[in-house]
Amino acid sequence: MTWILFAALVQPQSVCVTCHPAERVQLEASVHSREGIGCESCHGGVPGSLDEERAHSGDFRGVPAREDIPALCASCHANPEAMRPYNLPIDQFALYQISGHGRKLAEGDEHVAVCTDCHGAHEVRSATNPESPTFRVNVPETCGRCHADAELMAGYGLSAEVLEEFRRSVHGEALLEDADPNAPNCARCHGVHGASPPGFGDVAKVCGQCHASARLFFERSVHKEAMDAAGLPECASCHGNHAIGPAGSELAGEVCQECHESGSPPAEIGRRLLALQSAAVHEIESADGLIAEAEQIPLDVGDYRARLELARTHLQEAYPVMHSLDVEQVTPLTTSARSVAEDVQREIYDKLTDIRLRRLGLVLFWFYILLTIAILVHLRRQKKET
Amino acid sequence: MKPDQEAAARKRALLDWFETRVNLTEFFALLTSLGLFYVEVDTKKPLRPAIREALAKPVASYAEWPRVLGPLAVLFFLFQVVSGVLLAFYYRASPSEAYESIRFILRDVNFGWLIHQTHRWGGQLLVAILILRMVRFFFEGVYKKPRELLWISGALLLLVAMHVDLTGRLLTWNQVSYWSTVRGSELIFTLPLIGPLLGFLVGGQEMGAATLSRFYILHILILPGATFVLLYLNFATVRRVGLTEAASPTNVGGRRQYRDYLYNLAILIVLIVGVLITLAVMQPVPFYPEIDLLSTPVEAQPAWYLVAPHVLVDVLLGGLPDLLKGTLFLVSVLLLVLWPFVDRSPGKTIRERATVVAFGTAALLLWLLLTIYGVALQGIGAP
Repeated sequence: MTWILFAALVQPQSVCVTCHPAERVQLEASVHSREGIGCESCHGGVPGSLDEERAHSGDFRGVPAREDIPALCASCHANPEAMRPYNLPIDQFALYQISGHGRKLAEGDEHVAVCTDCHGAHEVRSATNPESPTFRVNVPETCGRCHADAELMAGYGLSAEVLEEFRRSVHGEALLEDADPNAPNCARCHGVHGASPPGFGDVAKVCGQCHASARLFFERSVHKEAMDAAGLPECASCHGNHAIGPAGSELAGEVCQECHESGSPPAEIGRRLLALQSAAVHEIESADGLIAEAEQIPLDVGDYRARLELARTHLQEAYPVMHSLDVEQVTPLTTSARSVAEDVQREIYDKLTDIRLRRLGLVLFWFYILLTIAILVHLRRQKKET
Repeated sequence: MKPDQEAAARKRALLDWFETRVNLTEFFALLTSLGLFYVEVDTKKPLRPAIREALAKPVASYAEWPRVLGPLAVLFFLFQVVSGVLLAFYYRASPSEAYESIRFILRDVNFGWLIHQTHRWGGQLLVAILILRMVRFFFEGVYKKPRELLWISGALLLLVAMHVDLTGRLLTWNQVSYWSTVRGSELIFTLPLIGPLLGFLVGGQEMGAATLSRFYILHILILPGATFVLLYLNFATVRRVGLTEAASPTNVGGRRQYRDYLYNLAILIVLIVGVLITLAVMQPVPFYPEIDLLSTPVEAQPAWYLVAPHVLVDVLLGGLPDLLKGTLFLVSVLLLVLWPFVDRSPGKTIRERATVVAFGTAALLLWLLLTIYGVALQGIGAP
């Protein structure tokens, strides 16, 4: 009995945890407990009472119904006065209401995500906490809890492959494997609380937030108008959405032929762009291989590596320009990439030939050594005879 | 007079001009002091008769084949001096320039790679020859009275050659040489008395600009100077007491003359150059990356002759405190140098000194096994 009394003395405000210890553990890990947000803030009731009946009386509401949760959280999180000290935004509730999740919830669908599904209920952690399900890198996994659930997604006609596709994409690799701080997670394109798929006309804008120069060149191209007229999503038509591959890989496929007949002038432009790109890539890869070979010899290859980086930069510059579909504009960039890589190859090749010549020289050298020794031995014998 | 007679007369006149002003024979005698030409030269005579007389003498028994390790060491030392001077034309001993200057030598200087590689290999072979020489001295008992000095100078010569190599390794100032030196010096600096003293001499216990420039001075001036003095001492005592009883100055019954010996020496020089250049082309020392102070390689890369002590001290006796390890190391070095005073038994044949020979064989085998263990199983050891 004494420990109950003790607990009551230490925390006169909230003794709920006396009977709900598991929730206490969860709550103490959360940002809320640090800010003095107690059980009654969400659950109501009389937090100071140890009497079960009295404690669960008054405005006690038990476990909040799913449809009530967004509004309940918003009672603080949409309040500018309450959020100001934390410098947190107050538009989450408004955004949620226009999100795919929010609209379905309003229609009475209780399977959609509410605040607690992503943030947790008692154990709400800050999005900057790496343990939080809303931490940058953890977001794909968190969304995937529902969006990779084939059974659940079937009801909405949505693909449950998105998480796997994203993991394999350049974006997924950059985010999850390379820990690239600039790599996007789901929320970067779909929005955070206002999560919904970008509309057809918005795809270029969404992608263009990061790929600004690619968007610039795209908008000057004939594709822009044609795609808008045909009602095609701009970037995604060629690049796909979740399973985006590395830059340039689309051209290698038959993506142009999906709209343009093979051999037609537009398909020809695609073919030429592919030729320019793959020639540059090929030269860079060959140079890379030669550098590795030269390093084994050993030759010093520090400079060559730096110069090959320059070639890669030129190629990187060429990718956005390719969206203009203007071969004349792309050629100088891919050509520079190619010529730098070719120069590097030539110079290393000279050095490698030099090494081979050294071996050949060694054979000649030993011939002279043996000749010299023979002469010396001969002279020694001659002296002795005289 | 015929033209060739005229030329000969002119040469003689030039020689006479010098001969009347300095004693040229003394200069020639200096060459014999370095073990290249083991013969007493009468410095009172003029150069030409002195040489003629020396060449006609029978070769001392201690200079006959296969007693070739001594002159071989001298030839390697001279080769190192010549190639080292060539490298010094381009090398710059400062942390910001050292690596770059080595790269310049290796890549841009004509035949710079050849000089660099032969210098590296020459150093290794010099150490190897001196080790072999000490092994031979040990088993032949070439440290018994009166040849203590021969052993001691030989052992010191070996230690100095190792230090020339170790200081030279740091000069390349790359990731491997830098961290190997740091690892090696950590042990040395724990030694009582010697540690702080060495730290003071090489400019502090941190490897930096001061260390590099002091290692450079040690490498090109002080240690080669010491080598020269030790070589002189070594061969001076060989000339006085010979190598063994059978190969002593009093036993000169050989039929060869020094004239032949000179030809043999020339053949040896040609062979050395051939071997060094072959090694430089076929087995070049790797070009390691620049120093990265933020990443310490996991494995130390001690020089090949230090792999055995490294394995012993670091792997097998890893638990001992550094001070004890350092002391163990120091004691074994002292044991090597002062060996003539440890084993003072008069016996000279192998049968008479069975215990000592057994001890030596065991030590040598341990050294070989530990080296093989380190190189093959632990993957440590830098060429």
